[in-house]
Amino acid sequence: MKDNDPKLEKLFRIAREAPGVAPPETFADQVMTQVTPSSADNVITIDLLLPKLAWAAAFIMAAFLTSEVIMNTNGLPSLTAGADELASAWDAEFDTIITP
Amino acid sequence: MYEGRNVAAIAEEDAACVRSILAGRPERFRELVERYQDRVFAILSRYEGDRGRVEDMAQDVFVKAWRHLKKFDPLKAPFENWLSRMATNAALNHVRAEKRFREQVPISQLGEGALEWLQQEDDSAPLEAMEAREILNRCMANLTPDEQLILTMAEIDGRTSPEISELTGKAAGTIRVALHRAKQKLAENLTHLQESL
Repeated sequence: MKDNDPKLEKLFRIAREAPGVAPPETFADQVMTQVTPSSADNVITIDLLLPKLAWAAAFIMAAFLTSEVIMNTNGLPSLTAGADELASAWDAEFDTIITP
Repeated sequence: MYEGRNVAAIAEEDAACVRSILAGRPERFRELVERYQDRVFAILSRYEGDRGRVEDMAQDVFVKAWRHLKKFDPLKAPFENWLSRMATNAALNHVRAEKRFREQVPISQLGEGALEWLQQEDDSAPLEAMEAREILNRCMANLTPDEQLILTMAEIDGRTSPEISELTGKAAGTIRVALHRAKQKLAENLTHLQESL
């Protein structure tokens, strides 16, 4: 078995010195295409964002309703009344502008 | 680009690059791919000769590295070692999957140059890299996947037992014993191969 040692060593040496497969020039591009977010990932991101926007809108509406109830209870002018007053004032101003 | 640079400085630069990627700059992963693609291809092509398959395996290694980037800990090992370990594991899985194929290669499929070299008493006859690879593959066919891997890492990649231990996760003593046994089996297989011609 010892007689084969030089032959084995030669086999290893040739295999060691043999050039390996070189990566193609576009290899990094190929990898980046696979790992960076695609348009499909953007859709997923929007899907995640929409529920947050819906919750934010619901929170704002709830805040307005709560303040309306509190102001009515305490006898303060309600937001609805304030909004009506503003709308009337705007209508009057608007009529003045367009009616000579 | 990195010739002559301090290994610790490169490791720190890699770690900073990984932190930057995780902080929201995924495009910087390209730097790591370009820096280590030659290394990964070199490791994989020791175990697979087909260019297309090496390329597929290398892509899988980098995609896996990307997916597990959060698990990379620069305090445990530099990025190069972490990635090399992934490439080595990919090679081990590949060797396991290819074992049946290797066993089925008949002697008649060995090239003319390889047969001529085997029949000679000494090793003075010229031998091409592809022929050396054919003979080694043939002689390694009945070695376990782990023995094939350890032998390749030690004798072809030129790694030491502690390095192989770090890459494979096996104890250095186990590596030394497995390497000794693998070399014995390889020598026996080469003798049998020569006698069968």
